[in-house]
Amino acid sequence: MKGGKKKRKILPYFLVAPSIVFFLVFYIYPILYNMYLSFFEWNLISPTKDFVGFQNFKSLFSSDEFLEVISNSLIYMGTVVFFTVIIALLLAVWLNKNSFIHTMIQGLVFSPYIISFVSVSFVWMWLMDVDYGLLNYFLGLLGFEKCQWINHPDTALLSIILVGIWKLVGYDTLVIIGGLQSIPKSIYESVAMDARPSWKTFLQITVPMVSPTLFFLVIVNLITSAKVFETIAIMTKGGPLNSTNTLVYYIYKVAFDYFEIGSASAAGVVLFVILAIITFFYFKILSNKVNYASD
Amino acid sequence: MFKRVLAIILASSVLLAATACGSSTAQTETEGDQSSAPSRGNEPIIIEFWYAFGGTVEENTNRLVEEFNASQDEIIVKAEYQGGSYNDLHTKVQSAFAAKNPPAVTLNEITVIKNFAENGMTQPLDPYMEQDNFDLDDFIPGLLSNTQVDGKTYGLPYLRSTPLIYYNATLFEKAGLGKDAPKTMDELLEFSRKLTQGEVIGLSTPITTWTYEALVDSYGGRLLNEEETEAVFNSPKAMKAMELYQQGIRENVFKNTTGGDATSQAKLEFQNQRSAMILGSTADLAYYVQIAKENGFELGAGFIPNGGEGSVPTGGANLVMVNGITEEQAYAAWEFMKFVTSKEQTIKSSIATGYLPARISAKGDTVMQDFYKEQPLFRVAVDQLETAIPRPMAENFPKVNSLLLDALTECLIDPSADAQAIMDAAVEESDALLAQ
Amino acid sequence: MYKKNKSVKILLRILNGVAMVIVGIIFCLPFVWMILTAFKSLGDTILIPPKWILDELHWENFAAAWQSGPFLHYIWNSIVSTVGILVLQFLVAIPAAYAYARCSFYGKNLLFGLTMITMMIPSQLIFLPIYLLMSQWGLLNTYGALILPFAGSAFTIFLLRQSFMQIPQEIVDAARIDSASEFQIITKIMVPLAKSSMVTAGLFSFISHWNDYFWPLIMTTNDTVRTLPIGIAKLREVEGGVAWNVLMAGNVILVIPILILFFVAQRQIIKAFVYSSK
Repeated sequence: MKGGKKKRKILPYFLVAPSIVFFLVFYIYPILYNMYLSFFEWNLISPTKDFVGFQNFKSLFSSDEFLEVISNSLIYMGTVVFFTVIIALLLAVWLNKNSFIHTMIQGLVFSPYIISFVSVSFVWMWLMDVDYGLLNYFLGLLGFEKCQWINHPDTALLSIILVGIWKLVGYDTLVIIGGLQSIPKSIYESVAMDARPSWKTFLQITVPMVSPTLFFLVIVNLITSAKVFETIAIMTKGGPLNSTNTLVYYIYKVAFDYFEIGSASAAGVVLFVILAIITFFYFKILSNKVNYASD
Repeated sequence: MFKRVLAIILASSVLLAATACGSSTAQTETEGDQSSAPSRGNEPIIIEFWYAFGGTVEENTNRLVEEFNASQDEIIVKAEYQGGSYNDLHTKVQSAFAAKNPPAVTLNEITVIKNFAENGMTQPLDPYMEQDNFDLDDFIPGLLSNTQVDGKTYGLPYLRSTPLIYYNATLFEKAGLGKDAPKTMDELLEFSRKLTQGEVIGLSTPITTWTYEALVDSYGGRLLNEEETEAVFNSPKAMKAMELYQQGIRENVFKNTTGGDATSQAKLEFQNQRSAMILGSTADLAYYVQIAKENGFELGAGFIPNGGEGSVPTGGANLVMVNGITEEQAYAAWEFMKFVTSKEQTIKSSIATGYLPARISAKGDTVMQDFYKEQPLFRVAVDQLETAIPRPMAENFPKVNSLLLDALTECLIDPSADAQAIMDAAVEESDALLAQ
Repeated sequence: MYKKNKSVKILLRILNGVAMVIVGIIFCLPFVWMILTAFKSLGDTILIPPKWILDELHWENFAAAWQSGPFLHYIWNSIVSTVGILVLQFLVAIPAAYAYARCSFYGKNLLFGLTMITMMIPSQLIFLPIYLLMSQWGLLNTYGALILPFAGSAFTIFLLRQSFMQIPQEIVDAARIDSASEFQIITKIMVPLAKSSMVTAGLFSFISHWNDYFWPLIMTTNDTVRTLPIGIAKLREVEGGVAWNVLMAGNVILVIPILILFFVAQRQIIKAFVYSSK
């Protein structure tokens, strides 16, 4: 028995060891290397690196461009996550039936998630074409003016956000449908006794019951949207006038268009810190609100 | 117990490693050959040529490598695709160089050739040229401009291009404009006015710095001064290009597109016959020819309209030899580079890819002439090379390029904006960068 | 009165159906376009607005895409690397998730926090040092370079941990009384009850790694272990004009395995979300 207890004590370390090893080698080491590089000026080809201390960080935070990049990223993340989750919730409630057509539509809604964006960038170019695109056609029908979409700094970020939501909604919808289906029917039945309007049922019962799912989706969506790259690289290259320049794209551009590895690494550190802060607060909140069977 | 779990994990890792090693033996042989040179005479020297772009460029590259390998026993060249853009290729080459395992031959887009050379990534070709009495006289002078760094030759022209003006000859006829491209900037504006009717706009203007550079150079202005220490795109001559653009947009006879997709969007307008003219690269020619054929309109191509001086920038990439390789590899690399830039090969490459032939003698060769008779539009770019000038190669040019692009965008999105002020501001910032 | 209610109901149902179709179209429009374009002639591909009804089906686009490179080889590499990643991810994640979910040990929160942090790190930030490492270890152009960096999947650990945490303690206690080993607890109780999370994590992983272009491009300098997305990208990245028809044909080839997987397993997948969402 004593031997068993001792084994139980060190067992967890063996269980997590492989994962920790992989994380240390392939995530922590590179991030530390990144942090190390952020104190230098280097262009990747020259054999020497120049130590510059905090200079890279100072330049970043005094550069209007970088501040705009941070602001663009936060706006993008917040907007995409907010609308994606809400739209997905509404869609999930609406499509949550088991008929063939419902399943079909669920599948179609999920389809953007499985294609790489490059395959469909042309269509978006057409959809957002100022004169002959479908979106402006509908805006016209509704009596609105033509939107410039990715052609104007005022509307470019909005365009990218739209694409981001489109890509992500399907995944969230399916996950929420799953969450809805795990709400015991008995709860609805007991409520059906009182005459409530369905929106009240929705708000007071459905939403709280799927809140763990929603929390999960929020963090997953935040992380995914923080990493947005492909869409921007293909549709706008950060422009026009820096309006769609977001962190990962900015880092890539600074490193490989401008050959400024040090500066890019510093921006990488900033990105990492922002995400770490978000994760930290997320888990703080989550641990208060969700219960598990084993507690 | 947990021992079993551990065992399974270890076993799978070993298995995986075994697979990894298994598929790497083929590779390590080549890697090995690159770092320890086998003696000449026993085994062939194996080198790698890293290139970018698929499609016809890849096909042509493979053909070149096959023919070279078949023509002799000493050297085997392996061509490896490294991405769909020069940026991807450069990134890979740099990473490989940092890992001390670069290819022997690769490409440098013309604006980075100086960067790579000055940082010790590529080596000068002069010693090899001297040994073989290889001279540059037969190369088209306009193409040599972006191969020289500090008086030494670092690259040989390979896939080079110039900008052209493409136009829809069918729409020209409908507007009563005859079959020729506009010859001057004034004609460009005039033609645009006549062509803009109904759904059609005269000229598609994607906001990119390369097409802008073409206009600036044509007016006799420049982006940077000759020593590349100052930005001069706010000079009176250069600003004429901006005046033209703003005028055209104000009159609604030019149409802008911006953003990463700008060029694609503009091309779509032209291909859908909603714009009658567009500036583009020689590289686009073959594609436009086919689209025009399938969609029933006649394609025309002409020199960039003359704004006074009529100079034109070039584009594309040069072949370069990487630094730090062994003597054997350098020898092999040089042989390959000579082959690729030989008259016979440059003719074949030009016909296959639509890029320019690098040599003067190639231009006059009967095979080339016959090709031009069949496809007269391909001749236009070559003829324009008479007035070709170099593109900027300064170390900080990519950043300056970004500044210029932003300034351009500002001026063209709102054509009533004070262009001079905006450009002056951009020039000031650029000067600071160029001074570093 | 009764009739009025009925006809209103029917009307609502029809509207509902129409709305669903519209929503479906909005989401899959680009997807449909992709498939149609794969069959078009070059001239038709650039038309704006796009052509939705084709005169003839140009099957040769698929042949052209297929022959543009060693596609069979690429597909094989894609399968090996994606499956390899999935297998390794589960082998690594299951024990770790179990430990985080059901054991208590010193440093648990710290290590778990470390794990979660890795979810935050995009590959554009870390590829360079990993590339240098792989080069040093001679793993460039091997499956190792494609698989090992992804063996640790914080997402998978996270999901599995959630599921493991929901398994009632009584079941585990009962098994312990029957002198089950930890290994048996993991494999015979935990894993079967967390099938749904595993499906979710597996699907997520499969889709992202199957479509990954960036990582395989960076970690390979030749075709030995190159994957399908690179073959497809070659079709797009040409100087001059993109042959959208051939490119889309290539993309259709790329997406078929995922589609098959998805439509076969759709109900299962949703069922999976039912449990893992808690």
